[in-house]
Amino acid sequence: MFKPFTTPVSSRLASSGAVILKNFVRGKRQSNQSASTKKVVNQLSALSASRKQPKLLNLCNEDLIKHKTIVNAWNLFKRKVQQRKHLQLKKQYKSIYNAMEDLKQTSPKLFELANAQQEGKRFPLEMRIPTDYPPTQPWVYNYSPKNKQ
Amino acid sequence: MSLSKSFVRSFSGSASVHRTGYSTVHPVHHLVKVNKPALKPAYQSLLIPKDDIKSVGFKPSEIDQDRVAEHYENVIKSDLLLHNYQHDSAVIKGNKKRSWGEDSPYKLYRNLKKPKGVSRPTKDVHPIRYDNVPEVSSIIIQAYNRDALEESWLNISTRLQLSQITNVKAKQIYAKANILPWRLRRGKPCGGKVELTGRDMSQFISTLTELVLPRIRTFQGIKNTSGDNNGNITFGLDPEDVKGFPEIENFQELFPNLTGMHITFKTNAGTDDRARTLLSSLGFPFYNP
Amino acid sequence: MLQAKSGVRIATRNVASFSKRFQSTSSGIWTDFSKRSASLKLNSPEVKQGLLHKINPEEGPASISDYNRRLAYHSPEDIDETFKQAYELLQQEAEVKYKEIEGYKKRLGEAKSTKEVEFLKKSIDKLLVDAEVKNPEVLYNVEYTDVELLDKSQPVYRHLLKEKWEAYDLMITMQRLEQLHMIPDTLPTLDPKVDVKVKFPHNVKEEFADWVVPGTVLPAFAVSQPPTIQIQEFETVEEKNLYSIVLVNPDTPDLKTNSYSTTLQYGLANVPLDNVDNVIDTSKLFSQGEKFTFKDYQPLVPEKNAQTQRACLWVFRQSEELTLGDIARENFDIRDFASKNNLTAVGAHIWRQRFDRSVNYVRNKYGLGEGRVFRRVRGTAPVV
Repeated sequence: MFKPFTTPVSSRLASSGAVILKNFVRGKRQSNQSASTKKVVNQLSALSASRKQPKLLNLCNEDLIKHKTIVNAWNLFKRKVQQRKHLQLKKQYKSIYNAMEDLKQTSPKLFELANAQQEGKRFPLEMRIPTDYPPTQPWVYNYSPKNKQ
Repeated sequence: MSLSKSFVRSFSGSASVHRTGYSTVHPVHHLVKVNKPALKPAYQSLLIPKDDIKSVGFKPSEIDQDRVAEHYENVIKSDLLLHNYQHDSAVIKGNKKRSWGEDSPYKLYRNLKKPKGVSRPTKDVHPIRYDNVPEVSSIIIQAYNRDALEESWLNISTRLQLSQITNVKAKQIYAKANILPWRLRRGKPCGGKVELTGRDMSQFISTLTELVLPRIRTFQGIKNTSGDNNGNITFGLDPEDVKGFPEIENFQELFPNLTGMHITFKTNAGTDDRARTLLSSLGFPFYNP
Repeated sequence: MLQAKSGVRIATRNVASFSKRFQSTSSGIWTDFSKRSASLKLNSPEVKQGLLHKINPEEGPASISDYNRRLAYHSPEDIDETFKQAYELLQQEAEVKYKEIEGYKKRLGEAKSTKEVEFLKKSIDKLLVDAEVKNPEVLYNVEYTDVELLDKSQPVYRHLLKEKWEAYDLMITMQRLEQLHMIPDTLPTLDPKVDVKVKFPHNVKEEFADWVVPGTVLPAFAVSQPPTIQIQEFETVEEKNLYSIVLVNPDTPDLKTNSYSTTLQYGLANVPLDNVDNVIDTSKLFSQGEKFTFKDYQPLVPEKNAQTQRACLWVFRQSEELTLGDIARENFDIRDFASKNNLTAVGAHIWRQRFDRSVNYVRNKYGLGEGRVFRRVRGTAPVV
């Protein structure tokens, strides 16, 4: 600890009538919070949004326009994909409609069966959302649903 | 006399303009809407939309593949269209509020009568076409923390728990009613709530169906009776089940007081049955209680 | 400034050798200037190199003027490769648009009714905007180069400038017009169609030489010469439109009625303007001023202790040529003037003036004599 050559600061200040300095801690300020309080403070700071906000990129003019162009192209690409899918669904709907109209004319009995509402129908639980790394055996060929076993 | 006086601007004084006594309605001549904050130099940086890279609030969002959304778009959507197709179907009208009649002028502007048989009006059910195939529009997760009613700081960990799981900052929810036996006081914070859309929603769905739900031993599925008749399905998770989320699992000592949560899937399906089929396509099991 | 210039010089020296290494051989509609106007090009070769190909890592981006900052700059990873793909995609889309335009032009040649011709011209303009609005060179020009140098005959520049105008200048103008009660004190309202800018180029001080922000209080010496007025149309003007411009002061003291009267300070009529030739400046006034001016410019000279006076500039689009008789300066009725000559207001501007020490100088210059000094007089009515 640093030792003063002359009388300590606090005593000098005290003799001159100034404010008494409390015990000086070199380096990082120590907090006198309890462990549980610290934990809550940490939780609060983890919740605050400013921690998660990445820093603003200072791009030059060329790169800003480049970025804007990339975003424009990406939006155009997405819009086109979306339009294509919408068109496909529309076509599917129309062909379902045409098929049902056809069936209605040719065989009303089959039409009623085809048009019956299937309440409580579920997709098989084994159908999985594709991943980059599928299981080694991707498809169970001799599959039979559990409730029928 | 006094009225016309106010419109003559007199050179020698302004008393007639400033005299109180009646309010002046200025003639309408605004043809251009002036957005005042947009003119303020200090606000210029805040007015940049958040999806612009120049904005201080910019956050890159599309940084990876959205597996769930792509699977839905590429595979499930056409299946759902086929499954829900009903030939010669029409809009099923909901039970709406009724008029009191028009035989008396007193009835004209009276608040409408309640619908017949039910307390609140029900929605129309539209047949499924290519433009309204059922999809999950958002997921709302709500957690209630009873202990926070007494010590409000306990709510921080509940909100943090939700934020950790979902990547969205949780809102605080407050008690609405005074119920003494439950120690409920109006205005006390008692939990958190998040609404997930887009990529956060997809991520949550895949974590739930691939990691959390398969590891809950007692989990049979979502009840087939769940739903609010408008196509919104809710189920709950216990505090014990919440431990299964990978964001919580490895930091359990940081979350000593976990709370359970209610998960509501908001869909545009219109009916609960369609919504259940939709959810089963995303990998959620259902069972008959 | 000096540093900036030297930096550009260094960049110029190395740009030729660098561009050889990084030049891509892509050719599309956006690099072909045989059919498109050359004003859609980015003029600075260094910036163009950095924007369309790759920023030279040894030189840094040419748009940064500070030498050290330029060298310290790093582009985000893979931005050039991604940009190249994006550029190709957008260019293909623009090519489709240009093909559509060709089809429309063919139809335009065969069109008979004026309605069809108008529709086709509007559609062509719209397609021209759509084809170029995502072109990075155009975007750079609008965003970072001097707006006054842009070629306003191009629909895409006018479209982008209109967006900018609506986002700020238009709102400022309309706010000041309404706050200062120029609307409805002079004319009932304004449906703005053109961007009106005013400046007094005879001023040496930069403070007064620049474009005037609507509503500013200006000293008399700053307005002692006729202003330069820019009228920017955003729709296509094929043959020149005729405009009339009127500067009125609705705050001239009228002691007889203990009120105010309107004075005509400046009157121009039959001024032919279009998208590019859109400024009424000193040179134009020198050469053709007598033809346009129906009332000579006389600046506002508020007398001492009179209230702040508003100089209200109205711009009208004419449907036909006007023949104006002798119009008195005093007691000018602008509403009557507009309705008699069948004029519709398309733009406006306002500045204010109060008495200052240059007023007497300006009065003498225009031969207006010594101004009055107003002072308070106790009224005759008893105080209750």
